[in-house]
Amino acid sequence: MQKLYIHQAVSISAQGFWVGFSLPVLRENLQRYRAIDADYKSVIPAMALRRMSKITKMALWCGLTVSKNTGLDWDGIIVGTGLGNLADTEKFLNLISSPDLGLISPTAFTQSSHNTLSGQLALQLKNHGYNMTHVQRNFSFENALKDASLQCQFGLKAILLGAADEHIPLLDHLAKEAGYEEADIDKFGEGASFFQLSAEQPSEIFVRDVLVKTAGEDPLQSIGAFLEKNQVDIDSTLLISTADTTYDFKMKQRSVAELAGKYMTSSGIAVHLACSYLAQQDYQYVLVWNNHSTNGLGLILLGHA
Amino acid sequence: MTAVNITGLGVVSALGVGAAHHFNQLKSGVVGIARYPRDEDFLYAGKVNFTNRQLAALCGVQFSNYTSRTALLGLFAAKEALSRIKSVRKFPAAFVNGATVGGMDLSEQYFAGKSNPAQRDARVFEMHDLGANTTFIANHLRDFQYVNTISTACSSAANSIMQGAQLIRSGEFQYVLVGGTDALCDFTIEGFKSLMVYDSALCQPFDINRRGLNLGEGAAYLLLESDECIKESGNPCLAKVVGWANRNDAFHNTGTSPEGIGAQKAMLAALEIANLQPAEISYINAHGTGTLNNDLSELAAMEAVFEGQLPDFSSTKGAIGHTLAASGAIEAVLSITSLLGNCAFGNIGLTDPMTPSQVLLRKPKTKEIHHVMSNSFGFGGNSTSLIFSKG
Repeated sequence: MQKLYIHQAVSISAQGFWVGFSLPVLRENLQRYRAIDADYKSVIPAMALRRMSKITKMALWCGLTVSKNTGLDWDGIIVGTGLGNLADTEKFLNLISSPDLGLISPTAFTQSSHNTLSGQLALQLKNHGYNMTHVQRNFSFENALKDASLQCQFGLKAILLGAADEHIPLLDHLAKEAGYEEADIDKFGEGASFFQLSAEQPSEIFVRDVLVKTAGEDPLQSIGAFLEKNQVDIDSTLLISTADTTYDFKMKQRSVAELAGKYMTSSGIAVHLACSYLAQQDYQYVLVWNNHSTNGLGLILLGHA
Repeated sequence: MTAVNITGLGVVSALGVGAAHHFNQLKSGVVGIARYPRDEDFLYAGKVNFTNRQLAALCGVQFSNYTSRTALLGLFAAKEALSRIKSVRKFPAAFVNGATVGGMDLSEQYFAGKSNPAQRDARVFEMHDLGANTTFIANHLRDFQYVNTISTACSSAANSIMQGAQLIRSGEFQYVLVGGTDALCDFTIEGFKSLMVYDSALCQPFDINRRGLNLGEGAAYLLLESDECIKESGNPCLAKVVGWANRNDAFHNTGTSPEGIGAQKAMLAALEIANLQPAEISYINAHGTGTLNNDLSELAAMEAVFEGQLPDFSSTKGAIGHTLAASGAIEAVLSITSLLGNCAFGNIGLTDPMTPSQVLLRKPKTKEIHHVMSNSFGFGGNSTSLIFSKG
């Protein structure tokens, strides 16, 4: 695929909020992974902010901060979310299952729609361009990134790409009922990451290739073949995974699970972290390995000039 | 540059099963929307006339209480789309699905049983998320190298078709299944009721007295193949996707701007990609939900784009209901049957049309049809326009 240059990155996670490529002081082994609230009202109008759930606030804060810093009128706004607006969905499900169902407020219903994030960004930015939301479980961000690459082939120049997922207590409860261990439930995280992308305007850091495999295969073999196809040397490459297992593999490894917890689109913050390592020129390449599930995998290869 | 050839069509809605059947139903003016019982009351909705158990049997899958209706409807329509075509294994295949409610019909059971914890079963959430529904459908069809779900509210399936067309045009894939599926559920019924846009009577799109929409359910899929792929498969090209565009209205979270800015931009951009003049469009299958807001801004947008020379147009939602994420695919299939059968469909439910012009079709009109435009608009300002041409 053609190179996709990354010009800006903004994230919110359990690490706090993070603007730009410089590597913040990372806090390891947190006890819980709720994202730390940013000063949302710095970019989101107070009236709109009042009705927003956390995922919308996080996504808007990140997306609008990138927009403010670039001043661009986006040709496309592309968002990936694994589970969408869970808090609003739960709220509306509770409303409609209450025994005294009378007149109910439509706010939670309208905001529960998965495209609330991309739609609100367009609304706040008065942006009439391409507007898309991808929702494919663990691979929602990878698919959004693939779409960004596709749209660049059809002439879109400035793209705002993002990922977001939120945590609600019901997830812990359901996981417990489904037999998850406490230690695994404690790892549930949330966050949002947004990027300015362009295929035309060069920058130091770029996405070189993206691969999603939907069927289970030996991951080490898939990684090996992917690096070979891209003629990338393992020794100069850092591997950032989304799950917290380390593998018996020659590459240097890092996981975002211990920094931001686990959530479906955490490969977004893994890409942000990759940008930081590449900006410092610690590595020639970073490979983001989405290994949330053993059923398939996502690979995003980033490099610096 | 390859054409985007359509070789397979599958559809299920309140009107029944199959593209040809839908054409006949619409040509005869059949209304699929009927009384839908709820508690001691009823409302009007376009329900597919099969139970989940029947759908599972029709799909040849084992019935399970943990399989969502959305997934079953989707699998049924997808199998229909692939039933008459020769499958090609030589090229990698992609599946792009549109969805909004996913397994909400099952999630609702958990919340309904909240007062009695013994009845709550966390397993009902296995198919809550949209991607799980898409994966279920994909796994029962064939190997796909790319599986994706698009969720842009009521334009979800239209955007899936657009992405599929781009995947073919770019050369990235040769064989792409696209479409969408959504089942009726309390979540959306109560949602549109809370917005005060659910018509308690039969809906009347583009009528002065319209009061809102009736929801429907269903699914539809189109098989898209590149030129190279049809050479290999030998599948006849039924029609082509020639124009597509996705724009945003950026006006309001749920409502559309009075002049339909997003809709105008989408239609103009789709015409440009199709390299067609507005006058070359033979028929528009409009979004036409029946809400005060949508139909007003959509008519204004069409009038602006076609500069007072509107082609024949109608909404088919008076027959099927608004099938949300599926609507863009169901209406794409209807648009293609309109091309193939040379008949523009009538707009069901008109008593006092919003425009005196005869281009708002009171009844089906037989004529030569070359290019059909199909529009889909949704919450979040999402506006998508597609154009189909004869093969």
